[in-house]
Amino acid sequence: MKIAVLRTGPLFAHDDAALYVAQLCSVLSEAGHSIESTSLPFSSAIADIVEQSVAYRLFDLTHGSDLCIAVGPFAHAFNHSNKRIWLLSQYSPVYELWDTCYGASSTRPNDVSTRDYVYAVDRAWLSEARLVCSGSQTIAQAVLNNLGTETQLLPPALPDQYRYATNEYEGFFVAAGPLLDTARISLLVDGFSRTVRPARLVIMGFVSSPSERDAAQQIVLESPKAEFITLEINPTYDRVFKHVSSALALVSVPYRCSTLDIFTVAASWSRKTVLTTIDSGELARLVDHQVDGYCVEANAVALAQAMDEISGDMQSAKRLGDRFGEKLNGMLPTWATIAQELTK
Amino acid sequence: MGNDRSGADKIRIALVNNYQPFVYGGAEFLVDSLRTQLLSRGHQVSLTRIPFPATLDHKLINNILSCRCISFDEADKVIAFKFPAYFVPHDNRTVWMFHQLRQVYELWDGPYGLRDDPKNAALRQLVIGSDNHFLRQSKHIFVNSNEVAGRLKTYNDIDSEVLYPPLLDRDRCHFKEYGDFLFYPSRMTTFKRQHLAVESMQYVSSKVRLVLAGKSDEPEYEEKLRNLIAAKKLGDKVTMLGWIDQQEKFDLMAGALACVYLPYQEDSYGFVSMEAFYSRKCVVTLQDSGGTKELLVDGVNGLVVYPSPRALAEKFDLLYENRRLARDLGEQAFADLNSRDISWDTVVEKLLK
Repeated sequence: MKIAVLRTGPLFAHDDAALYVAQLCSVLSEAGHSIESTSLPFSSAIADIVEQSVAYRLFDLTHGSDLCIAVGPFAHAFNHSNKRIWLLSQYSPVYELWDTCYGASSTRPNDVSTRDYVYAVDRAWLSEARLVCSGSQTIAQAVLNNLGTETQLLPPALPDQYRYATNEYEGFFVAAGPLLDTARISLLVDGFSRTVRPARLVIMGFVSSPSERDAAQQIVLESPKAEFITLEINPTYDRVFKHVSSALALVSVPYRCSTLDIFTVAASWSRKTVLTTIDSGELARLVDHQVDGYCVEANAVALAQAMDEISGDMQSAKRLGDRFGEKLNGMLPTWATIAQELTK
Repeated sequence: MGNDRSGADKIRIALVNNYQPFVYGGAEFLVDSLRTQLLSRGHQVSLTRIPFPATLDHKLINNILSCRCISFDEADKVIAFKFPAYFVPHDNRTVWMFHQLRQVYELWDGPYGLRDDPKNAALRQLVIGSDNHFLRQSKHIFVNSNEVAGRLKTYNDIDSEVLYPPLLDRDRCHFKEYGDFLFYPSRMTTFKRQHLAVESMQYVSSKVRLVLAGKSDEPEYEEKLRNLIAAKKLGDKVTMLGWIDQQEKFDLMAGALACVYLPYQEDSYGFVSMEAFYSRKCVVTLQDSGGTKELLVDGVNGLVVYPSPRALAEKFDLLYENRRLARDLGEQAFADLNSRDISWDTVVEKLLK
């Protein structure tokens, strides 16, 4: 078949979906399909939403391909008679972040009308698709609750090239991902600064502007433990995945994330335990505290206590990491299955 | 604190192009090459390829609107290449134009263009009006040839600067010998007129052979070529290889007698000409092939022929019978190309200035 794979995402910043789409294209291609992969820029500014969604809507790919797989915010807007949607994220400011300090607000009329618009077009455009898959339980639930649309659960797996398993536990915690406000780097650094056991923290952050970089650097510099913190800005993916595979644990404290980020999936592959917080959305849903990881209150004291516990009891950390690995291994499909589901 | 690879002194560049799904030609290759070059110089680069409609009708209007609605504000600079990708809004937008929508310009109401009827005329007016308006908002307009510069001046009264596209893998071009076959590597499409080369082979009197290579965009055109070869019983004189990889292409070029490139009103000299020249091979082209004559001077580093199969056959025989001529033209082609300032350093410097 001729398959068009369309992705929307940030122009320059790290985007998990880009890595997943690359793997999907590779698997589809190996299966003998002709693949045309396209990525279009997506700006998350609320003022840009309507225009962008209209722009995507005006593209018509029906005549070029037999099937179209759309990934990313508003990618489902594309016109195609055989459209498959893989929802790896939604426009979070009007979904999981609505009326929080990170999202749009019911007190701003413009935000309210944008939310109503997004819900209306999401409902309409998703209903055109032959198949709608959600990348997580959180997304599936949000789509059902807000739009009344049933979706098939299809979480992404770790791309083959990033599968590292070193069985090493070096003396550092690692945090990885885009340095967005919702990543709460200040909470993470504050927590680490209160630890008493010796360890290091490596933050491997992706930024799309010098101001984002400067803000992160400032947070680290202000920490009393700055000398024990390494901030790597825009590292290569390979480097991040290798770090994850040899860390003590992955620390990830995003606010209400809707999907399991790729570095957490990598941690599970490397059998590393994950430390997260109870308000971290999908991550909190998946990590069972003291069973297969650490899911603590979203404050610096609780984080520090958990970090000290991990660095003080390596055997326990290893045991929880093994369990987390087993859990995700049983939950995540193979890429062959993902490709099969999206094209059946 | 640890290392910082944010590249604060470098800029974020958005490359924006249009594409026909499942078609990969010279323009796509050139943009990919530019991306590689910019990345190697430490810039952050994103490549956006905007799908172009399969039919030239009202969908074209949607396409223009789409381009105007997509935000590239995150980028410090936008470099755009084709219609209507070069309409994307940005304060620091440079255009490196490969061509406009030719069907409403120099191809209008001809065999390869849109027919002159009221609906198409309205579309044409819209496209020309949009070009006139939005192109003028660009910081700088470069074009890939004098041919395109001339069209832009003639139809839109817009000045531009010629910036020749270099090859990404120039080093892979090499010379082996002046063999006994003519090589025509290009996408197989009506525009490229491989059928003229095939037809000419029924008139050659020498033992020269023709080798065609390239992916076909139009299955019916490929079928037409195969039928032509069968109908004229040219199986022993013409070989159709289909798609070949880059290395095979360069190897075939190295051993060819000369190269053939017969597009209709081509925008620029085309990578085929350049690859041939770097391989010390002359190029046979046609008088109506447009930009191919940018590098090529008849009788000096190539042959420019009246567009007919018999005229082509005569030149094919001439090159086969007179290897010294093939060699002299090929050597001169190599020398001429090396004397020009066509490099990635120049391209990057100009596009980012």
